[in-house]
Amino acid sequence: MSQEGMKNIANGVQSEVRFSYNDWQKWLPEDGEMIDGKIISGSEQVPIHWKDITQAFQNSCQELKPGELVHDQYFSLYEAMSAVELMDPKMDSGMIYRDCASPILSFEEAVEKNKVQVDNFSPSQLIGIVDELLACVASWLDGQPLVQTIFTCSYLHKVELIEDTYLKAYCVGILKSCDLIWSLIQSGQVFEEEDFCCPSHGCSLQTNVTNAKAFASLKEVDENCARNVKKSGRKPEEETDEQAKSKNLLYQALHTRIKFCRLFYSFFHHLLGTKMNEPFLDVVKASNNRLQSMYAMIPLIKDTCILGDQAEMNDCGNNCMMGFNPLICMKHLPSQFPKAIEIMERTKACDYIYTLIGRLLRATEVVEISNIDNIIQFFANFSCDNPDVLSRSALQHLFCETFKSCNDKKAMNEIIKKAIKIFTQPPILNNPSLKGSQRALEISEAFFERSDGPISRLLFTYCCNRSRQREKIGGLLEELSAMQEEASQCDEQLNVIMERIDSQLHHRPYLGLWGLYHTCKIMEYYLLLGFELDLYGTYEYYIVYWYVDYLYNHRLSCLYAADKHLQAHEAASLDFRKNKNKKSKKKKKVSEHTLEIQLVDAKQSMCKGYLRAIDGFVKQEKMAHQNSKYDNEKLRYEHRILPFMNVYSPQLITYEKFTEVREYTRAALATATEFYSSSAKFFNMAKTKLEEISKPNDDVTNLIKITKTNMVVMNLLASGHKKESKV
Amino acid sequence: MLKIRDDDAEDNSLKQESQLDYVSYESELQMPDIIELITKDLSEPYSIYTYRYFLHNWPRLAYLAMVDSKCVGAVVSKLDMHKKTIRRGYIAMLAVEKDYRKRGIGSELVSLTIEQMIKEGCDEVVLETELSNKPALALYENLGFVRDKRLFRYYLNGRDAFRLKLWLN
Repeated sequence: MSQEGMKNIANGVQSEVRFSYNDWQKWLPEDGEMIDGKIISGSEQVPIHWKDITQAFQNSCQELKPGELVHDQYFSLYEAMSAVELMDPKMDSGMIYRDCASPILSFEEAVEKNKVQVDNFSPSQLIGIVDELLACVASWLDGQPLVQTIFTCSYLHKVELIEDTYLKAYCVGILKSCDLIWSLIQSGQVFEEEDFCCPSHGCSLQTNVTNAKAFASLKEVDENCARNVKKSGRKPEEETDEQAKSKNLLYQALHTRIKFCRLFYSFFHHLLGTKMNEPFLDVVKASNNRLQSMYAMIPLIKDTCILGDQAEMNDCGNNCMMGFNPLICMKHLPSQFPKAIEIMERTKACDYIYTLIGRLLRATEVVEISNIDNIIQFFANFSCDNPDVLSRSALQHLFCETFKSCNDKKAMNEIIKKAIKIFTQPPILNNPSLKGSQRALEISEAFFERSDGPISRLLFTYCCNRSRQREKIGGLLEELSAMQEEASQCDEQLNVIMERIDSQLHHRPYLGLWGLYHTCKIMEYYLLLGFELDLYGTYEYYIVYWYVDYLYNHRLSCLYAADKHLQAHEAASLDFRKNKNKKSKKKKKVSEHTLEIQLVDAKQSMCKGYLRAIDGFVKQEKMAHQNSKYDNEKLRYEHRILPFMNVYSPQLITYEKFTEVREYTRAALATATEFYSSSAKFFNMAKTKLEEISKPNDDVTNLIKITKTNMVVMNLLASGHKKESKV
Repeated sequence: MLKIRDDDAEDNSLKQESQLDYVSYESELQMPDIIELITKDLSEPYSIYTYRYFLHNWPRLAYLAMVDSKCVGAVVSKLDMHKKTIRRGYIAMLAVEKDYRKRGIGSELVSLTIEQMIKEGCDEVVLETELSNKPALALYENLGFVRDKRLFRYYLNGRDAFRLKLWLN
């Protein structure tokens, strides 16, 4: 061992011996013994001499003490963690091939040796293959690696070798669609490693076939299929009724699949196409029609899955379809622990695609909305169902193309203005005299333009998966808070200008209120999302409900203030109209914010109901305390609301303030029974408020059910029922 | 990155048939015992280098529970800087022999490693555990850990995990 190259790092009893490249030179074999290959260096071929060093290596290892390690200077223990032990079946993915009876052939080799059918397929064989391929597509969209899903279908490895026109057109259509899907997902940037596996490991979705050719082939086979269906509809003499009917059904089933593939491909192609001369709304309309047709086809495909050939046992002991092999691409996987993949069952894949198309259909509705607040709500509702990554990306794409495209730079600005106008009716968007002020216009326009950033980020956040949303809210709140601060400054500056124009006129915090409203909603969302993701222990519920209650309070004040501005505006325009037309009748209009006020008000009462219930449980010692070894409530409180640190308003409530209020409320009532009664009253109050909502939707109806049940339970507890039980 | 399945839960105290000792990790001679114990409970395999990475770099954060000369429990951790500002401890592996569970050995091992982390100025301790592993969740939550994040499809088997966190500062 070279002494210069050796560096001992004392670390208890462990030590490391690091080598430089020169040290390794000494281990290079001497001349002779085995010549087994050649190194090509430049144009010269250098013979390689192999020498068995096992014994020499093992002898040298004897010199090492326990815990001593020899490694290259740039290969630390951290890098070593990614190492796999060769030949260990748990780690070495290559070991999978061990059980195969014969070597796995590439598609080209298989075609050459006639081991795979490429022509003269029966309709049931075709149905089996295309259904299996669709199941692979669904599994890929569901987050599995490309290599272990779509590329287990060997036909896709070299589509030009497929001779059957139906299968070739279908395979090309799927390959091209998947490439477009990948572009769509890439452009949305809302995927994370847990959502989606990017194409990699030497598998490419690109083909040499042009779009025109691919569409032409699909059209041709579609027409052929239609002819076959028609032809098979007429019963030939030599066939029985039953035979003719089943043949016709097979052709129909195949035709539906070809039509579906054509629509699927053209949907993505058209949506992502760069036809500058075609208005995007027209693109969406056509896309919507395609989705509607596909939506109607999927149940037909699902019902006829049974007509397709089913999987059979192959050489490697895997149950799979002709032309498919789960191991065909395994060599492309990086040397890591093999991940077990299950391809979706065919009918389940149909269900998956059906839900996906339903979501895509819903996503197209976004282009019809013309006010950003409604768009935000649309995104929030869309996210509630935990949608797949493709529909989330499509929603993001549809929104950006409609409102943020290079063709229409003002669109985003307009929908923001429209929302603010509906929210508070600020004079800058109404008052003609103020509109005349160039300075006022500049100030407000600059604000609208700058709100684009935080609002777009808010929408982007809603397009991420639910867990990542929560992670991203910290950064989002910083941006929203900055926007809100700017809104307030803008309000102040506009007020100065307005008062200068007319001392009777004032500019209230119209823009600031709108900013505050969105900040409050995201803060509430952050806390409530924790319930959905199951992040809170029961001992944390008090803090969460308490803070949500505080935030509801802010949102309510904000809505009341906005409502007041709307009423003032309504009164002013009514006076204006009255002066113009004395006959106009006064008609009481329901305010824009009424429903939301009722709902938030009811939810706040529910929060208070929960808090009083917990107070009762604590008083009766029914609820487990968190008095564990390392728990510190203050630290826990502060970290749980850490993303609110940088928010300008609603102001952060310190732990000291929180405990002060908690102690005060807990001292207000003497017994658990009183707390339970108080809780029941709050739930009753919430119920009454919810029942006052005209045209209640499903959410409201569900909330009414919850408040009813909780009220009954609290009344029972107040009457002493199940006194001994624990929460 | 590291995933551990630990079905330990604490309650009963150890039945005193034999002597239970907690010892610090001392040398690689103890490594086979640790590997054997942890491999039994693991959902995913670790290479020997994974053990070496932790044990060589942070030997003082590894502890073993010994009954006579038999290793019945082990904890392996690390402590380094996170985002250049936080000294973050990470509990990489914890396992207790099946017959010795429900005696608080897991909790004691975790406490030992946390105590050492505290001595070294640790700000927070984190780890991941499978969503469905109720005993492990109970063990850590009883020590004061909270569920800080939900990690969708964290494991190779597609299951979710929780990132658990204990704030010390």
